[in-house]
Amino acid sequence: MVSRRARSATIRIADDAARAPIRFEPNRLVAVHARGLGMRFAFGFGVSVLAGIVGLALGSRVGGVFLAFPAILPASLTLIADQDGRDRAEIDAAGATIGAVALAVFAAIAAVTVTRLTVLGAVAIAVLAWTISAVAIYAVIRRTLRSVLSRQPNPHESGAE
Amino acid sequence: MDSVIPLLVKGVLGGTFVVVFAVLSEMLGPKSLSGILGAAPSIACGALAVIAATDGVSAARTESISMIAGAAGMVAYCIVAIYLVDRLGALGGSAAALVAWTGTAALGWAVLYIR
Repeated sequence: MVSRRARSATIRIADDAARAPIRFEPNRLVAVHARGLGMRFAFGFGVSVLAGIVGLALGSRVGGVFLAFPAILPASLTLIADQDGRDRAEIDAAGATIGAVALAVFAAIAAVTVTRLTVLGAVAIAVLAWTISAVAIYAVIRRTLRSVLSRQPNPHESGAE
Repeated sequence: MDSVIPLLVKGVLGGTFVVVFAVLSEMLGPKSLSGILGAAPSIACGALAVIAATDGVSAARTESISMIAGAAGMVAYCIVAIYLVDRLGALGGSAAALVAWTGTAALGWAVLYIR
């Protein structure tokens, strides 16, 4: 049984993915807080070192799992919830689900290419594969949700956002 | 002692990539799109380069294969976090969701390696 809270979270996420306009705003950089970036750097540093220590202690087979440890998310979700509220943090986590699926594509492409190319070339191709697959999945989901929600009123067109 | 420098380099590269993806995320909207960058390969980019340089490309390949199990855990983490953040708050929810990452990653690892 799906709870009312879970259902309302799903509706908020679907509405954001289907109807909110896509934006690229470099001027938002001025609003980025140094404290937030410092916290994220600390998370990234800590998880990278942790993954390295696990790899040293238990070998590459175990250490590799930690290359896909949720490094940014705990810090990001906490910062977003503090600044914009829990609703926005939930939507961020939903977007990260798509990035996580694409992360498996990154790993598979890296595994195939790292022994055939230079390591920098392999990582670059894997990042490109991550980007393409994440954008493609997002586009398909957005298009599908738009089609499903097309008969309902759009709050973003009435200036509600 | 030989392993300290590569560990520090991995840490600095990982932290730097996390910041780069976070800055990109700030510039993108809506949240459902910018959130994708929360699961960017920020740790893996630097780590794979260092592993290939210090332990060889074969070790980097093994780490990449194992990373597929971690990515499956990450998918589970994100799905569980959506609902736990609502119930437990951002810090509690994102911390509790690590149970989902651990369980799913362990299962994926077992599928990859235990015959």
